[in-house]
Amino acid sequence: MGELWSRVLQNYPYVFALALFAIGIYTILTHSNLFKKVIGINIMEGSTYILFIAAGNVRGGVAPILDMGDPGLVYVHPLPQALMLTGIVVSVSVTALSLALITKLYRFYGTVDAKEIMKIRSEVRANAGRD
Amino acid sequence: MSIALVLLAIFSTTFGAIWVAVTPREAKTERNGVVLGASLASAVIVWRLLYLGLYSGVYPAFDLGVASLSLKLALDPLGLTYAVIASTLWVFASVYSLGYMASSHKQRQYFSFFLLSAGTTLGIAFSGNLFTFYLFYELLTFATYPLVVHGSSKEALEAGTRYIKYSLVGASFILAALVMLWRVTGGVLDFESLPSALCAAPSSQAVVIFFLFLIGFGVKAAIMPLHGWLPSAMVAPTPVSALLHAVAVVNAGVFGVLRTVYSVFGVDVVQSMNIQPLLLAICSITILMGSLIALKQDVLKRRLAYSTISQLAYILLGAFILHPLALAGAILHMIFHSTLKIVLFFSAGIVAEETGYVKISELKGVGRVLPLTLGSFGIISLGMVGMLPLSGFWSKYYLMRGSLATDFWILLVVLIISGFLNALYFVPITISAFTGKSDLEPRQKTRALWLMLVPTLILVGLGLVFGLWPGLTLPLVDAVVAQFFSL
Amino acid sequence: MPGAISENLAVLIVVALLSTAYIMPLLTKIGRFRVAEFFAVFMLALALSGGVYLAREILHNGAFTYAVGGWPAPWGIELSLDAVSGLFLITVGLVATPILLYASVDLVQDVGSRSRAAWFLTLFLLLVAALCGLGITGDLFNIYVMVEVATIASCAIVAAQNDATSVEATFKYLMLATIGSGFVLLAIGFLFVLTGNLNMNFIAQELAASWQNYPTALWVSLSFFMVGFGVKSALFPLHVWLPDAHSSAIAPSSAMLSSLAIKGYIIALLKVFYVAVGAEIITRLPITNILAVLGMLAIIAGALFALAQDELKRRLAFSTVSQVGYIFLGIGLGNIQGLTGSFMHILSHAITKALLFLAAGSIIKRTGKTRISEMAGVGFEMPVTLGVFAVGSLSMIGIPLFSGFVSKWQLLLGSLARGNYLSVIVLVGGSLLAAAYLLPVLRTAFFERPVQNPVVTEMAYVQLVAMLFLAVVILMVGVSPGVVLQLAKQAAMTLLGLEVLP
Repeated sequence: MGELWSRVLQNYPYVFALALFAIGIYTILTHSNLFKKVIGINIMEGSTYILFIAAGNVRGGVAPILDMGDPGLVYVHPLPQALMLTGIVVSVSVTALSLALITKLYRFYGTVDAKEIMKIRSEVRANAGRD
Repeated sequence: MSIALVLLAIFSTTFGAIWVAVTPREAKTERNGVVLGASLASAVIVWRLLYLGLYSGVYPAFDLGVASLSLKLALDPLGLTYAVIASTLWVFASVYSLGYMASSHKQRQYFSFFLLSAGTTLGIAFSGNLFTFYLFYELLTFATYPLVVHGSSKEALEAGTRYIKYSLVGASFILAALVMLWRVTGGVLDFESLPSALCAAPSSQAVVIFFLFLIGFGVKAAIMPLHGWLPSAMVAPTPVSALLHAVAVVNAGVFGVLRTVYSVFGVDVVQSMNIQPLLLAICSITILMGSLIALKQDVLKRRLAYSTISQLAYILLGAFILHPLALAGAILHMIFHSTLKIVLFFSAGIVAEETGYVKISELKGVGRVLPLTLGSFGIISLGMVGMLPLSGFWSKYYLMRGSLATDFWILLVVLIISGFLNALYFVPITISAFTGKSDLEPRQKTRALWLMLVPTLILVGLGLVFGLWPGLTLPLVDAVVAQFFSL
Repeated sequence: MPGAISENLAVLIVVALLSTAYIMPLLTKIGRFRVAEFFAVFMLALALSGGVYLAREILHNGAFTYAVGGWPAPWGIELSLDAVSGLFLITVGLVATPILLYASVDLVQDVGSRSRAAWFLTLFLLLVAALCGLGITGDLFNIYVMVEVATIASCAIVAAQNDATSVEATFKYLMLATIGSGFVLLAIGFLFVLTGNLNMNFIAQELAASWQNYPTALWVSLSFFMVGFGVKSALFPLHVWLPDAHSSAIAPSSAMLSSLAIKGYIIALLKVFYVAVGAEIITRLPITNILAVLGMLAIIAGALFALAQDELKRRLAFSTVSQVGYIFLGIGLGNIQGLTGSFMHILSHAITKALLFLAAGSIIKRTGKTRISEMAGVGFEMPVTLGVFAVGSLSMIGIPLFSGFVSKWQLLLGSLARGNYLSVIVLVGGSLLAAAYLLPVLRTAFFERPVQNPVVTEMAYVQLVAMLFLAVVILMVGVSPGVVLQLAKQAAMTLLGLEVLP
């Protein structure tokens, strides 16, 4: 038990990332407000940034700019940071697309609540069936 | 040269089908000409192939080399027998159809698929390996489905659905068996080399594969309890019932069983599996039950359907006895049953077309109005019972001799009882048709009626000829028996 | 110059498609929309021929890698051109080209306006480019980026029709797909933490040396991959978004999504499992068994759901759930025949489902009837459309001489090689169920008497040509699968790490 705790504490950024990921998914799946779903997506994607950045971090390392004068310097891994820039771009575009869809949905249904949209849809379908 | 002939036999009808499909609806003469020409052409080619095979011993085989599982066409006496039966009767059925369908709707669709099924049937007959066989067997289902539902009535559609359900389920059994066989033999599917490849196979697996095949082919061969589709499919137009449900489709199933027993497993392997009593029991039950149920049917075509179920089991019985004489009986019965049963269907169709009667209880006195039709029916039904001088006698004779030559003499009893039952359900029809009173007026013989009558009468003649000179079929039957038994 | 093109062909295909995508609105603005359409189809055809050329190279001279921008791995992004990529490039080209050709006729009318149509072309080409990218990339993060491009493009394509149903379906799709991407990214992060690499070959080396030290972490990462890609490729029971999304879109979009988009994620999954982690490790973990079981469940459940639908496009959408099960079953079998079957099914299902969706879309467009029970007698009004629908149905059922049979046969052999008789039954039963949900369409269309006789005309010639092209490909693959089957076999061998003889 003690060993497990020490491992968890050692790797706390990863644990934190996983917890955040779970919170994000929970938000997406349980909230019926479409905006909250989008926020959930951002929380979820944020957690992956933490994971990657933590993976590239070297304790005591400095920004990876080559300093010829000091051969003993330790640098952090530059790759994850560069990757996460891409990740941020991706998540921004997903957010933009979902916001655009939400405005459209609002125009069609007059609400941003998933449950109410479902209700309206099933009514429409029932009416179509009756015709 | 021969490959060209084989391909031509299969594709002449296929080309005919396409031709019919693209001719304008109004061009009746052209369509009729194509239908006749195509079926005649393929029949002539098949006879030519038979002649080459029997008299010069040429049985060519060709790998078409396409598909990962290669398509292979090969001729052998057994396949040729089936091909000759199907293609010859197809010509008669074409002529009959021209009369029967003269005023029907959707003739283009009908004749297209009519010819397409002919080509598919020949494909089955000429398959050189199991994969090719399976391919054409599956295609036959789809080629014949439109014919079954041709009437477009609710009943026809339901019968069609039932037909396709049974057939596809059966085909999946075959596919499962095929893939297991492939693994057991390491990819050998050729009929020529299969029996020897299977000798070494573990027998438990071989039994499983055998029964998978039997169930698969048993659907089309209408072995009880897999026969459910056949009586309901009788809603199809009569030439279709005649051809498909007495000749091509059901015989495809029977042919499949024959192939399984003799070309896939081989006599020795089947004998060593110790399943013969079970197989013979299934056949006997089908023979007797089929006859008994036939007795209770009032709709003529349904009675014929149950009679078919019972008669097909004769052929299977002959095949499962695994004796040269019994095999000869089976082959003879395949030939004779087809040529006889098709006449019964033809006559039933003429009666239905001319008088509108489809039930046996309505047939009283119809014989006076349609003497030739009911006369043919009467004569040929005696052949089905197995009386001389009709061909049906000889096949039963050989089946009985076969069963006596082995330990299964009890089958003799089955055959005799079934013969009585046949007499019970056929003979009263003829008697009441000629003795009863009817208020029908004799009709003018139209061109359509003659188109239906002529093939019927010719086939009656054929039944008599084979009955009087059974030796005519001897070279063919000899060749088939010699193919599987080293005498 | 020709040398330079053929050397860089792999990356050129993706780059050319991406740049074509972005000049579509421009071309429409300065020129005519027809020019843009023609150009798009032309570029897709070029991509197809490029794919064929690459596949030929791979078949004859073996797999090769390409360092993007001249930076060698592990620093640069590496493209790995093997039989997997060759097969997938051909699949994408073969399917996307006729779909776009079909779409081009009615596009403006379908999506509302010319400028919207131009953007539709952009999205379509982006999706194709992303799929090609997924096929050729050898880098995990590159996979993530391509997956995201494909996801966003396909979401937007669903919404192209701009009506309430499709927008709602799109939102649902987007949410679930993004959850999927989250899982994928997290899993990539895990592998990165474990191995310090993103290049799949380097990961494989690293894992082969030391995976026993952290089996749990690897296992978690792989299951995240499975969930992530599973959501995106509609692996049962993660398929909930698919029926809405695929049935509410316009016909070409449905065809594109159902036939190709989900396959891209499957290819990605295959690459991660068999290239990055390696066949050696994967077959020792229970993950392949899980995939096989889920695949079998998908085959049966998807088909049963499909049977319950009366709306033609929904039925086809559920059929996709079932057919994807075949592919996952093949992956789960984990042997050479099973994987060959999966690859053949990726190709065969792509062509077949594209054809079926296009034909279904045509029927709905011309007759206005969406339900199968209303389609009595349609076959005589639109004989060519229903004729190709018949070809597609027979292929989907797996009748010999149609492409579906080739894959079904390989999968059956694979199951027997594993001694898995249950999957034999499922495969056979699945094709029977496919017959049960597809043949009634043909029966109603061809053999039931129509209620009234509205005069409906066939589709435009270009659209018929597009559908006939797909039908001919189905038959060609079915009759003589030779080269394609060889490519699929080689792909399976590559994944299993077996020696591939050029």
